[in-house]
Amino acid sequence: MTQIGEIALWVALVLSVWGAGAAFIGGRTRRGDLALSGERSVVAVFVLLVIASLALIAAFLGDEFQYQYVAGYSNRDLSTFYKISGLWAGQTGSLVFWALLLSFFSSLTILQNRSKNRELMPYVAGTLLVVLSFFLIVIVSVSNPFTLLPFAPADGRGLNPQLQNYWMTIHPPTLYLGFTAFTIPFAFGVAALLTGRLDTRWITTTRRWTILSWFFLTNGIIFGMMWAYVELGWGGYWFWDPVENASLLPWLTATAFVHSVMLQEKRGMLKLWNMLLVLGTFLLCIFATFLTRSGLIESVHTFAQNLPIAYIFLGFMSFGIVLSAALVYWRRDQLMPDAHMDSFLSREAAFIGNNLLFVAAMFAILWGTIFPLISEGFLGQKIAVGPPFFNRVTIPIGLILLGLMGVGPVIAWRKASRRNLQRNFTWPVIVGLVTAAAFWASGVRHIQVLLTFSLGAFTMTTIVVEFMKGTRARAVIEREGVALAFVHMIGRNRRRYGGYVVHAGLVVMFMGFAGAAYEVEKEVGGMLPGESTEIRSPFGDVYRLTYQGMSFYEHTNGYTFAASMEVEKNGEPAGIMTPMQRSFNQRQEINTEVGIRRVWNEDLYLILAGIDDMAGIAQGTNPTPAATLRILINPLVPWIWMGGVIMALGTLVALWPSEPRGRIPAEGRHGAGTAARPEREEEHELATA
Amino acid sequence: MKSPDRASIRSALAVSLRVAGALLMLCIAHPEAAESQRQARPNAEEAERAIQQLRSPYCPGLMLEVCPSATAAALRDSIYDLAAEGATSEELMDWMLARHGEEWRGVPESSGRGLLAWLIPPLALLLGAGAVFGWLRANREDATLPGGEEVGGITDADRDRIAAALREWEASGGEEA
Repeated sequence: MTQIGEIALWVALVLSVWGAGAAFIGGRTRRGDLALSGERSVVAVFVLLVIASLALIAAFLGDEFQYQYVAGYSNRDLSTFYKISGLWAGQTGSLVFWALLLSFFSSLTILQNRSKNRELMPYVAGTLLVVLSFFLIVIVSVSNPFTLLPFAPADGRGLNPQLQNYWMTIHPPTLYLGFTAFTIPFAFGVAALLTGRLDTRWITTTRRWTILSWFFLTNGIIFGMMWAYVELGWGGYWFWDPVENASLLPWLTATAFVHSVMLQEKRGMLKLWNMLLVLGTFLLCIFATFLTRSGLIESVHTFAQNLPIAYIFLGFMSFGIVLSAALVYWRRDQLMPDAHMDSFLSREAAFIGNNLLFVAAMFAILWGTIFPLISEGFLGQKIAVGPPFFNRVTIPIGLILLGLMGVGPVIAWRKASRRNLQRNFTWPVIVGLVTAAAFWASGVRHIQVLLTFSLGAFTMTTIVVEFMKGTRARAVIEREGVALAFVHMIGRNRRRYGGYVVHAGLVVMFMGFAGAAYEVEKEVGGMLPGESTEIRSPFGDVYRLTYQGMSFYEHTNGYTFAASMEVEKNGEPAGIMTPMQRSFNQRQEINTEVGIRRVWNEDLYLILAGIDDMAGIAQGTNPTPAATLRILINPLVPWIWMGGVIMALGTLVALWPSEPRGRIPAEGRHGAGTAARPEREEEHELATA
Repeated sequence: MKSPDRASIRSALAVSLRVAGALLMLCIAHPEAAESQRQARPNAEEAERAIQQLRSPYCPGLMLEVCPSATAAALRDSIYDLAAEGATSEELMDWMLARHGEEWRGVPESSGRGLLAWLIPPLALLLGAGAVFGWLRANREDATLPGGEEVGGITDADRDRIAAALREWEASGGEEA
């Protein structure tokens, strides 16, 4: 089976190269047979990559340790779940997985467009196959998962303990889904540039792909934060690590694009800018992959340093940048706007402002991430850039964006009148100011917290008012009940109201971030069974933790040391928490498993930082060793995850296909003109978004 | 028909007050409690300031603040001890960097070569904002007739009428009239 896998990879490479050539030549010479061959190659490559991936999974499940990759990331005791996740646990397998997902999305695109966009499709297929060829060349030349060891070891090294976590099994695939899905808008962008068909068709065709990619990128980043929070044991969820930053860069430009694309769809503005965002986002996805795999920048997330891969990726990125720049320059005249901005007090201006800030944030983070390399290369001294730099640079941008989230969706297109401003912003401004005053009165002096909550309240009020206005108007005009009017309103304007829900989730998330300002931490060393310690949360609750003793037991793949901590909250029993340390047979390292007790407004977070006599408890000579505990209270962290869920729901609402007009019974509507015209839905969304 | 604006604004007020009320609940927070616990050790603020700006020599890629190793905990303790003796955050950083090397500085200095790290992002933002502003101004001028009248210019009253019509159209599901 594994031999079939390797053969499948080689055949996939040959087909990708053939398909890319055939598609481009077919498109250029208008030879339908060649173009079709190129498009069919995409589907064939997908089938071959499925075979290769299944072969690799079979090698993991069959404990075939003669393969270097399997021996490096699995062992006999590993559960089936983690053996399957071995496919993306290491550098080599994750590249196969990347290519597999890309070929899947590419095939879907080909199938979706069998009878649409015929002029663009050969070039779309060609571009997708060039990207696939690149990944397949990397895989078969320097990162082959089927490379054999000179001998077959009896057992493998096992999976890195920190990767043996639920969130880690879904975080990389979700992020890869986001990276690969964005290749589709990129391919359409390149095709539009090559063919000169730069109207809005390529944008509307890829709209759902863009949102889908954004959905996966957002969730991939949030899953990574969850993994860091529960697994790394430092008490935080985001550390501005280079690899974390790398995943955020395409997210920022993709978010900018999701907004600015509306200006192109509605008013024919920002064509050049949108094209640059699409091309740039894809290149940043490749940059993220390069950064994770090259090991050039020190990070807790990277795979081992691999210079050949680094150079190949660098070459591909350079090729992508030069090609994109050349194509954009070539078509610059066709990328000029159809309309201009009428006023700085308009939705267009708000969207342009938000785009500028998103790109500025991306640039600042990119700059901070590569500054150690730049300083070493050009200044002769490696200067590290840690979290305080990123916080100082990005928090002000984030706060302005938080405010703009309230302004953008409700300010008028073209030019806002004084009445428009009064009508839409009076109450949100009042609520924002009242919130700031209330927080100030209650003793909150942290400027970022004050700004976050007041701007958050402002934005949330604009969203609530928008929902209320829409529901009320619909209820009156359609003579529907409020609940029905609410549901119908969202159903008919999914993109718009889904977007509002995403904004609401982001507001909740920002408030969760602000909680970090009041984090409480305490470290207690040498705690003996029966001893207690107290910690007071910023919300005034007092937690009393009593160390009951240490448990030692064998788990599937090693040993666990678990400290039992009895928790009382304000004198009332609140259960037992068990922060742990785990050792793994194949890996000589100790892994921390934190204990978390979550309530709606805070997490009590326990880390078992040290065990005084680990050998004693393991040998049974000292069953009650002293323990060192780090105790943290992380205020509002649950809001971050809650915000993430709300954002995901909002994106799903926006993604869900709109109900075609024809399905609505004509007699249920008032007024004329109820003919089924699904395309009008899109226009209407744009007009009101 | 009764103007939906006035009514919806009234309802909006009610909802807004509810939102503000919910947010006010958060004001039950006691930030001073956090402050008092942080300052359980003398001069702890200085120590924390220094620790937050140092990378850990024991956990590659991590800051000293969060490095979970026992050696890092010992180093943090030493910094707290020195702070308790009256050392400032600058002195604490100098002490640590002298012992372990300049490469463990986690944040670029705001002078010398490190200044470049701090200057470029705001400069880029200013340049970007300037370019966008200039471009938009130029485009606006293009869109203005010689007499100063805007191309296709409409009055505020027109805009309000259009906005009201659009809202009605939108509420009815966006059908053609």
